[in-house]
Amino acid sequence: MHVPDGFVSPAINVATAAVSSGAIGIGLARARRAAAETSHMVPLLATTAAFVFAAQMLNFPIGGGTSGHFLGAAAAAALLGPWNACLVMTVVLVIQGLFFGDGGITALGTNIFNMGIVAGLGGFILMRPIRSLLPDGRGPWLASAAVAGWAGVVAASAACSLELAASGTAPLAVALPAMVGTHAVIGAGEALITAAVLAAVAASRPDILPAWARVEPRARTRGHARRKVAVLASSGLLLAATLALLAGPFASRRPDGLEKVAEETGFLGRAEALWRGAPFQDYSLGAVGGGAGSTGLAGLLGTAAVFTAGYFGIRLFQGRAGTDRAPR
Amino acid sequence: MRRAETLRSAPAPSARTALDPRARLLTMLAFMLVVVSTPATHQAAFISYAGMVAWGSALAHIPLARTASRAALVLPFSTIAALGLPFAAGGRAVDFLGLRLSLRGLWVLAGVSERSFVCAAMLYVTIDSTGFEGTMSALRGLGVPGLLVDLTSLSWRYLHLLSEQAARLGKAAAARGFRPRWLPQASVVGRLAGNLFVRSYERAERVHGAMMLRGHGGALPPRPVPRIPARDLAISGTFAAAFAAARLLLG
Repeated sequence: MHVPDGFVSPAINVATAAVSSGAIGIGLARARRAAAETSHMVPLLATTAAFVFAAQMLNFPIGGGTSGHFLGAAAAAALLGPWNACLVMTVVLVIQGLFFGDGGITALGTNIFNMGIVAGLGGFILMRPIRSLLPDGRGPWLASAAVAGWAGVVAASAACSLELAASGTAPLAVALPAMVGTHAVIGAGEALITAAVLAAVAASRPDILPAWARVEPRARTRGHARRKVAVLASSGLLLAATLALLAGPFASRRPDGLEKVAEETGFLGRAEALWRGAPFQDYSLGAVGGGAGSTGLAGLLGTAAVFTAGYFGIRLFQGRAGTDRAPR
Repeated sequence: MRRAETLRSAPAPSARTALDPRARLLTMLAFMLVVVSTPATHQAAFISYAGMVAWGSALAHIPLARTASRAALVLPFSTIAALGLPFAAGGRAVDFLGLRLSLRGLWVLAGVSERSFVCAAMLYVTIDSTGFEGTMSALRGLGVPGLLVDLTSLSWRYLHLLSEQAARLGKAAAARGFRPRWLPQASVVGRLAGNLFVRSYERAERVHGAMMLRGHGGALPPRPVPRIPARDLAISGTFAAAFAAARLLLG
């Protein structure tokens, strides 16, 4: 996923480099503060970067005779925190870019954005809600890290293909399915390795795990259940919206089962007459014009509408159930 | 094992040590910025860039064949990333060996391949003649945050160690009969990686202890940075102007 020089347009390079510099600045400020408090932060960040570099040399088979390699961003985030993970990945990418020709120099900001911020910071952000949803214990903790590892790699590959497409280097309809498809498999290896790394650390040196990674029962507060529902609902909505926006335009243009039958038996015309006034006819917006953007937007609006209807529907029933069980 | 091989190659001896490392890095950056902003249709400009790399290689006394063969390692990426383009980009089509190829897609493929190759070759010429320490001091001198440079230098120190440890772990697993064939076996690789992390963590603790023993106070001490000599800046600027001229004139 290391983008060489000349693949991404200067505008995209500048934009991603600006975001990366901001994250590196925050990471450096935090690391400086941590180092001042008599911790071994500086050597730890350096050896962790060396670890990520070395661990990237360990290949695993992904089938068909090809192999993928470990990225390490989510593992670094789980072990050292998201901002430190950005720094670690920056150091790894600087060394790979300058001394090993892995990833371009002008593309350094883009590579740090994809593999440090999207994979590391993004994976970490995902890890917390998943963990708060799952029960306490070692298995669920490892599972949340595995999901973060998978999602980090897949999101980074999606970001990479979006950048290539925006630069005119590869058409989105080719790059996105190819990159995300490959990395959905490579991400499975990343998930297994991330979980195994954490399991190994928890087994031999549980004392070095940061506070958020300790496998201890958390204090249950009154708002816990409510927060759990809110997190579940918002992550479900986010997932559905992302799918609708990104995957919608790639949906099959062929008729589905019912439409096929309707066509063959000749009642499709009647069905269309009945639904002429539907707002998102054939999953596109009349007002925006046809095309992929319109389909994605229609999917997004549809998802939002279904979510809102579902939310208030459930609230309605919840309210009734609540009054039934009023204290007597 | 490409990485392990490049690890062992020491910086080549250089006659360009006269030019300040910071000026050298600035020249390289100017070259790359000019190259990546060159449209694929400016083929004459790309030929001149290749000539500049060859010249730089001669100035630095680095065998051109070695630079070119190392830089060619970026080409597989462009093949994977952009090979579909001649078939998918649309627009005007040309017939070649019975295939219908998109002209625009072919141009994009040529552009990304040439840009990435020329930039990688210039990178190797510059870095091989500057060395690791020279590059790090140049980065510090160019205003890269000191902590980031310190982290990179320290990481470089342990990277070779941990890479060899990783290779040893892999060899030991192979000796015990580990021949991974399907994806779920990645978790075995994960155990090896976990082992490697614990070792790297314990090394950080030892390094920290040693630093404290030598009177380390939490941050690496700042080092004085001399100014870039005016002559070197002028040379760097002349080169940058030459790159820009090649980009503009050889359209």
